[in-house]
Amino acid sequence: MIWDPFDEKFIQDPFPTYRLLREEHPIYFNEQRNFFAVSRFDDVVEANRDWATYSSAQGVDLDNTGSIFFGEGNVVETDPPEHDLFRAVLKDHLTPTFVRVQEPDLIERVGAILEDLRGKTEVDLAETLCTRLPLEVVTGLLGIAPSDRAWVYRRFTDMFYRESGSVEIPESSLAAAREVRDMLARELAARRGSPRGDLLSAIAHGQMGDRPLTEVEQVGMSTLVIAAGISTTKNLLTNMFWYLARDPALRAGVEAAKAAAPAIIEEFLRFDSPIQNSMRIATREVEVHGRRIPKGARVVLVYGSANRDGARFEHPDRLDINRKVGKHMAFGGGVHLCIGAPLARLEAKVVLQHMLDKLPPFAMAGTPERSLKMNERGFEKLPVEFAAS
Amino acid sequence: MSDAASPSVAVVGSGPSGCYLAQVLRKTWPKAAICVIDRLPVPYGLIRYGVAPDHQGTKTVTRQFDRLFEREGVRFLGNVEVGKDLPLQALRDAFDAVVLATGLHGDRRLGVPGDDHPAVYGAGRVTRLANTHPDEAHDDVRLGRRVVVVGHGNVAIDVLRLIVKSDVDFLNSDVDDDALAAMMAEPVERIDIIGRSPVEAAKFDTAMVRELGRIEGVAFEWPDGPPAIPVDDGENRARVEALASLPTVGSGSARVTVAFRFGWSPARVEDCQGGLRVAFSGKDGETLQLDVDSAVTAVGFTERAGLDIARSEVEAPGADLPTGRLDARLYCTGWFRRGPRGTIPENRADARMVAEAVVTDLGRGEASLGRPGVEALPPDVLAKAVDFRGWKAIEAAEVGAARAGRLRRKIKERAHLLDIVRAGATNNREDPSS
Amino acid sequence: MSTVILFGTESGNSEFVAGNVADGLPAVSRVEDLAQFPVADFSPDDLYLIICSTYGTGDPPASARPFMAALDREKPNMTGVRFAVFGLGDSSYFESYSRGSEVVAEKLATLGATRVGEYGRHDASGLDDASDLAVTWAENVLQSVEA
Repeated sequence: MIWDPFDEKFIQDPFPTYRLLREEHPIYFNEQRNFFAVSRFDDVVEANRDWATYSSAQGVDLDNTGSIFFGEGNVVETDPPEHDLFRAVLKDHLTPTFVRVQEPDLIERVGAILEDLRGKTEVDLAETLCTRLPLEVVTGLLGIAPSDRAWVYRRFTDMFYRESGSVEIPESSLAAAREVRDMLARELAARRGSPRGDLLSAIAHGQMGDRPLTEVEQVGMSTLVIAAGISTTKNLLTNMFWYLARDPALRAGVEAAKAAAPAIIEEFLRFDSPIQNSMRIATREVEVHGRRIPKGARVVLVYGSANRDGARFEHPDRLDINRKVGKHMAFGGGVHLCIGAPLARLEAKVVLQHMLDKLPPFAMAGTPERSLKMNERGFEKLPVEFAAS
Repeated sequence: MSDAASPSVAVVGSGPSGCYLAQVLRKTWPKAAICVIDRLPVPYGLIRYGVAPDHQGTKTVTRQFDRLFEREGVRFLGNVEVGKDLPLQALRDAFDAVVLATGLHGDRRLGVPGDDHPAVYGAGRVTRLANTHPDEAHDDVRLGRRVVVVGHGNVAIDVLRLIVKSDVDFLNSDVDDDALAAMMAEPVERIDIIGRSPVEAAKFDTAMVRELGRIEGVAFEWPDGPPAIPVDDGENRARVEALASLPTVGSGSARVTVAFRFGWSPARVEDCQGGLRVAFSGKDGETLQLDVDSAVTAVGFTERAGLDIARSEVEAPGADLPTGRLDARLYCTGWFRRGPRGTIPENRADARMVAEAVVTDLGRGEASLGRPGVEALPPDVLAKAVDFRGWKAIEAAEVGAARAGRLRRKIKERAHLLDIVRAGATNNREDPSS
Repeated sequence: MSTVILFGTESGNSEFVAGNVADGLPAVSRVEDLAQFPVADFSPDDLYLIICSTYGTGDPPASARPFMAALDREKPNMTGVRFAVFGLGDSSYFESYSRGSEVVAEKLATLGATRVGEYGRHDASGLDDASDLAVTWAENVLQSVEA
């Protein structure tokens, strides 16, 4: 196999393989795993746009995570027109204004994390910051009580744990997912009677066009929000800190350019994308670059490769914090364009603007532990050592 | 202490509706304790942040309100958010009557798939940015070279005008030049202004159209054909005639082109490589697609879920919304009451009507009065509150910081606004009457 | 002779200016809203200072419209009635920004009333304060009438 997305060695450094795909196998077929892959920027954009040909309705995870975890109500795994109705439940709550108004809260949270880091010398940033922040933000957004956060965090870690090289989802992950779904079912039921203005209340009262969302759909949607809101942002933050920890000059440059934090975050998103790929099912036979993709084929859109495509980005393998990135594929595109993107960007912005220059010098301490989930790129453990201050 | 001749009343929201209502109450009850509260440290709501920055004439309506606070003993309490800093119930416990005049701040969506695309911006946002609102961020809006403005009301024309005006056209305004520069980092080349109404039924004022025609360097286009002048007389005919007299492409050098389109309903918004494709349908099933960098929607205002007091949550079963009565001793006026329609004069009439309801109810002597008002508010709320003198210090600082050709340079950061208030308060330490 | 101020307003500006003129001129005996002023009450003994804004592209403001309708209905004989006009408007909306007040003035003139003094105007898009201008205008009108 030229490309086995489950292979641990590949996961440690995917980019040479991506270049090979783009240059020599722009439409790649993996016989053993039975999927096609699209790796060039323009082709990925077009596939994202053409939802009718490249459908999300039968799953978007090569490893089937979605259908096992989320069931119905998983807005990611629907096509229009159903998709538009599901998305409408969330989009009225996640308006740009709503997100912006979270900034003072976020700054406070980051301040509290800084307090907890004070005086510590060895710290796992993946847990203490990169998971903690989005966990607090997403549970706060949903309306889950702070006292339940630790419980949610442990279940969430279990849900996304994978064995190296394995396509199987461990029983412990499935069990954790079941527990999270049960908890959400209870929380949603409580809000059906009396809404509290949080996102769970909005989902509990969500309409699917002219009918209410079913309980199963509500639980699925809520589970998706937790999953999508935490691990993705955790990946973004761990990826950023991995680069910052190994390159003090980069860190100095980022600290000096506080006002440019939003643009710098776009470059991190492009260079090391939290979500590396997403799958579609071809609804008809289609020919791309002379290669026939049969109806029913699984087609993997490799965002991580598109974001390194030299046809779209100059010096694509260079992390350049002064780059004006423009359009990239880290948040996908087309009708499924990530609805949480403004929130993720704001969290990263607050970390860069309000936390980075308050941390002592830090460097990697030991080997970080990469996530082995095949469509993600980030760290489960990021041990750093702070210089004594 | 208060009584039927002198009740204590809190008005939440210091925009035109709240101030007009306070005006009537003060005229009726010269001695009543009237307090106007705002979540921002500065008063006047949409007058400051909604009326376009180049319509300074309209903004002078605040002079009559200044008098309320400066000479007629109405108290301003800024930087206090009811529902967040102070629960509504606590306010209702402290005052004999509470009037909600908090307006509507959400931009209504287009209501089509894809309408939450990041490059779809509400007109309210764009206007607030140009008016230096503390809650808007420069980073968030990038108009690009090609813009579609959806809507045919005065708000749409306001946005259009702000986009096409050049620096010299903003003389004697207080527009946020930095915000404009951020929104228009690339010069806008073409704007399509489009909406579902036919040309003779468009809602924008004739005067607004004629104002467009007086801007240098703008050429107008009619991609669907020039407008047909309606045969009737009156406002519709005057409006269409004004549109038809706008200078067209080819009558000189233009730096920006504006195309007017009528009779198109938005159908969907698609994320495109580097931009948006906005699809419309005509009344006979025709389709239109505009490939643009951004869309600005001016299709009305609405409540913001999770951010503002929701009217449905404070409306008691016996509420009488047409008279502004929400519950015992709780009222509402302005857009919060009647929906997002109505100019400043219409809201004046609305506020006067609701004020009558307040006066009638409190004068009846049924409800027990005598709540203490401001003094009963929690000390931490009073400590953070900005009074009218604090606002005047801000105003003086903004006027003092004005750039050449501008009336003032409004301050954006809340922290900065509050610093000025604090500095002013230190200077006025001896004066107990603030 | 009493001096009566009548105002026609949309947004309360003209009412506000009227109040300030009254404050500045002890000779003013009362201030009335045109909407509430009975057209039969006009008297040649009194001097009427009319402070009136403009609506849209040149119409009288909301509170002047019932007044105009009453004049049309009752057609009072206004011979000998003296009035002065101060018109408010906004040239960014309309070049003849005080047209609304002119409409009122013309109607009164066709019924036989006489306009005295200077025609005062304030442009909201200008830099002058309306009340200041109006007080000066009112003082000048009174002087020219007494002369």
